[in-house]
Amino acid sequence: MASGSGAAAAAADAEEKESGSRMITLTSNEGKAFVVTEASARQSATIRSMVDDGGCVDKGFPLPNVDSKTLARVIQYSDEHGNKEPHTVDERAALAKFDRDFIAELDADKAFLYDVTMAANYLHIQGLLALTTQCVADTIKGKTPEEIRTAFGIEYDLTAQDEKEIKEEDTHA
Amino acid sequence: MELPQDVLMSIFATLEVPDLVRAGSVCSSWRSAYTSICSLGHCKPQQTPCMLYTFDSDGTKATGLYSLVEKKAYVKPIYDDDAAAANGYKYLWHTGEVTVSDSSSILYYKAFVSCDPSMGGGYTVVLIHNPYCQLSFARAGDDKWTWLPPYSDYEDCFFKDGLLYAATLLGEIHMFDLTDPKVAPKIVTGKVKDFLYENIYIVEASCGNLLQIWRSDDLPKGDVPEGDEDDDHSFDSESEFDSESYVCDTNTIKVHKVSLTEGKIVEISSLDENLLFLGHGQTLCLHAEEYLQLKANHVYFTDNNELYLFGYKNNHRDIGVLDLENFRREEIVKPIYDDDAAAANGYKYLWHTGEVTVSDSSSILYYKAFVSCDPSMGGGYTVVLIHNPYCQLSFARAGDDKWTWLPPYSDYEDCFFKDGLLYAATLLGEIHMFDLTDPKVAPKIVTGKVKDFLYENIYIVEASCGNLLQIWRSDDLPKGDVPEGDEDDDHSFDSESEFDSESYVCDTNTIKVHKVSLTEGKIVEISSLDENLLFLGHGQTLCLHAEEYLQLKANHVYFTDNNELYLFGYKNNHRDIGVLDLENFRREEIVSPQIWSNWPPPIWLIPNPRRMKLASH
Repeated sequence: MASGSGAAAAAADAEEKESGSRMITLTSNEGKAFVVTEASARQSATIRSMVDDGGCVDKGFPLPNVDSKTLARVIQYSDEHGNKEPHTVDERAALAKFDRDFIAELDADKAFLYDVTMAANYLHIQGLLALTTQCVADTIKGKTPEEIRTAFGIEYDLTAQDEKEIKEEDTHA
Repeated sequence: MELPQDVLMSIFATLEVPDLVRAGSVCSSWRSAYTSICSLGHCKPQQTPCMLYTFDSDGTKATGLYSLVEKKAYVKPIYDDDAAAANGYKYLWHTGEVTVSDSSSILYYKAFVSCDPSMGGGYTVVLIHNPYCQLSFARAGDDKWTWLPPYSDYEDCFFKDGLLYAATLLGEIHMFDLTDPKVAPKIVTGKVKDFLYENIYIVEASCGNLLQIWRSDDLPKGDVPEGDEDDDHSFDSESEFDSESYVCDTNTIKVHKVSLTEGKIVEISSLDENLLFLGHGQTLCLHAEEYLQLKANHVYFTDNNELYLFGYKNNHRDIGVLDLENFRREEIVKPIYDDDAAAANGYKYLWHTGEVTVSDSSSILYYKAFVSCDPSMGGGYTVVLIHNPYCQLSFARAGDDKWTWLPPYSDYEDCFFKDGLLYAATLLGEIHMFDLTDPKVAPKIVTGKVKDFLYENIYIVEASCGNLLQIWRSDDLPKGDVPEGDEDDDHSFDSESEFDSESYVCDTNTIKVHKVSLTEGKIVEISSLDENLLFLGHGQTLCLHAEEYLQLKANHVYFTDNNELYLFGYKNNHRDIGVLDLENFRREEIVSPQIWSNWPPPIWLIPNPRRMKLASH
C-alpha cells in the first residue's frame, strides 16, 4: 500500500480509510470484549474475509480459541500495524523497533509465545505469525533436544518405536 | 500445549538441517512434523554447505561433518558404509544415489606387473592412472599406492634389471629405482616429439636393446581435423560427428632404438627377427625363432586408443597384424584372449593376470560428478561425469544402464545445469553447451579458448542475478622445487633437484572472477562478487547470496582442494582449505586447529534431510 500510485490504488486507499473508521468487537473465550478499529481487525485475514463477506460487524466476533491475555497482546500488534501506516523511513524504523520489543517480551515467556503463535495462526495474522515462528526457530537453533524441551516446557513423549527410529538414524550413537 | 502441525512445519521449514534433525527428536508432535517435512522435501532450500571430512578415531577412519552455520563439528560417522567413508569420492554417489556399473573402464590406463606373481616372491605393480596418466606403484603386500611425481602423460612402462622405465606421450623415458625410498625419476631421454596423437610403447628387444614404438591411427576423415590445431581444441563444432561409422585403424608403426647412454632415439626400419605385441596390456617383444607360429618383423596389435576405445565401445575394434616390411595389415582370425568378459573390457586384463586387488582405486576414477537436480525429489535427473582419460564428459539419465560419451572435446573442468542445458568449461576457459535431450547431443561453443596458462582450476556457476561466472583459481607452486611458468609444456623439470614431497604445500592465493556474456561469447573480469559468495572444490560449484545465508560472508570464496596433482600426489600433506576475501585477497581458516585428516580430502556437501542420517550429540 505504501507503493500505491495511480487511481486504482488511491481508490483502494480511500476505501480502506473509510472502512477503517468502523469499530469491531472481538470477544475472547473468557467473554471479555475488545473493541478495535476495523483497520486493526483487518490485520487478521480470518476477520477480514468475514467482514468482506458481509458478516455482522455490529454483533462482533467471538474468538473461542483465544484467551483474554493473548487477545490483548495480539491486538497490541494489530493496532500498531493496522492503525499506523508507516510512510517515512523514521516511521518504518519505529515499527521495526516495536516488533523487536514486542517479540523480546514474548521470548522471555515461551508459554505465552506459544499462545500468541497459535492465535496468530488461528486468526491468520501473517506478519505476527512470521514474527513468532521466527522467534521459535531462533530458540531451537543450536540447542539439543533436551534443551529445546526445557526451553518450551515440552514433555518427552516419544514412543519406543520413535526412539528406535532415531537411534537408527543416529547410526553410531 | 502444542503448536499445530502446520505451524511447526512452517517453523521447521526455516531450519538448517542439524537443527531440523534435533527438533525431530524433541517430542512425538515435533517428530511427526519433522517426518512430514522430510518426506515432502519442504526443508529450507538455502541450506548452508557443510564440509564432509574424515579423521582418525582410535586408529579407524571416522567421518565428520563441519557445519559452517554452527561452526561446529559433528564427529560421529554419518554413513553406515565404512568403505564409503574411507573413500572420499563415493560421497557424491551417496547424494546422487547413482550406481556406476561400468566405471572400472575409466579407472586407469595401463597396469604392469614386474614379474609373474604366480611364481611367488615379491612383485611390484605399476599403474598409469588418472588424472593425466601419472604413475603409481605398489609392492606385493602394500596397502596403498605410492605416487611417482611430478611427471604425467605416461604411455608405457617396463621393468629391466629391477628398474622401472616409463615412456611419456612425448617420447621421454624416465627411470625409477623403486627400491629407493625417495624414488626420484631419472631422465633417460628428453622430449623427442611434439605430435601427441600416437600411442607410445617401450620394450626390450631380445638382443637387450631398448625400443620405443610409435603407433598412429587413422583419424576419421572430415570429422576431426588432423595435426596442427591439437593444442587449442578448435574442432569445427558445426560438423556432425558420426560416431557409428568412426573406425580407428592402425596404419603406421615406427620403431626406434633407444640409446640409454646418449639419451637419444634412432628410427630403425626393421625388427629383424623380433615381433611385437601392442595393446592395452604389457608390451611384448618376442623372438620369432622361439615362437614358430608368429611372424618376424610383424606387429600384433589390439586397441590402445583411449578416446576410441571408450568412446566407441560398440564399433569395430582396431585389431590386426602389421607387416613392418610393407605396412600391409592382416586380420587376426582367432581372438587372442579366451576370456570374453576380459575381451569386452580391455582394462581388466592385467588384473586377471596379476591377481591384484586395488583398494583405493576409485579415487582416481573420475574427476567430478554433477547431478542435474535432487534425485530424492523423484522425477528424472541426469548425472554428468568429467572422467578419464583426459577429463572428458559423459552423462547418464536416471535408469540408463550405460554412460553416453560426449565427444570430441576434453579437458573439462566444471559443469552446471541451467534451463535444462548442460554448460561445461574446459581448462582453457572454453564453455560448451549441450542439450542432453537431443539424441545427437552436439556441443555448441559458447565461448572459445580464453587463456593459455593451464595450471589453474576453472569453475563455472550461475550467480543469483542469473549471470554466468567463470572462476580461475591458482595455487602457489612450491618454491624452488618446480620451476614456474614458461617451461610447462615440455615437463623439463630439473631431474637433479630433489623434490621434497613432504614440505610441499599447495595454497590457493589467487581467485579471479569473470562474467560470461553468452551472447557475445566472451568473458570480462569483475573485481567483486558483491553480495554473492562461492564454494569451490571437488563437488558441484556453488554461488550463494549472502542475504540468504547469514553465517556466510559476501564476496568471499570458501574452498577445498581441487588440484588433482596435489590432491593425489600429496595425500598426507596439509590440505588447501580456507576462505578467501576477494576484497583484499586475505585468506582465513575455516576452523582452527585442523580437524580433518588430509586424506581422503574434505568436500563441500549440502545437507539433505531426506537422506541424511545425522547424529546429534
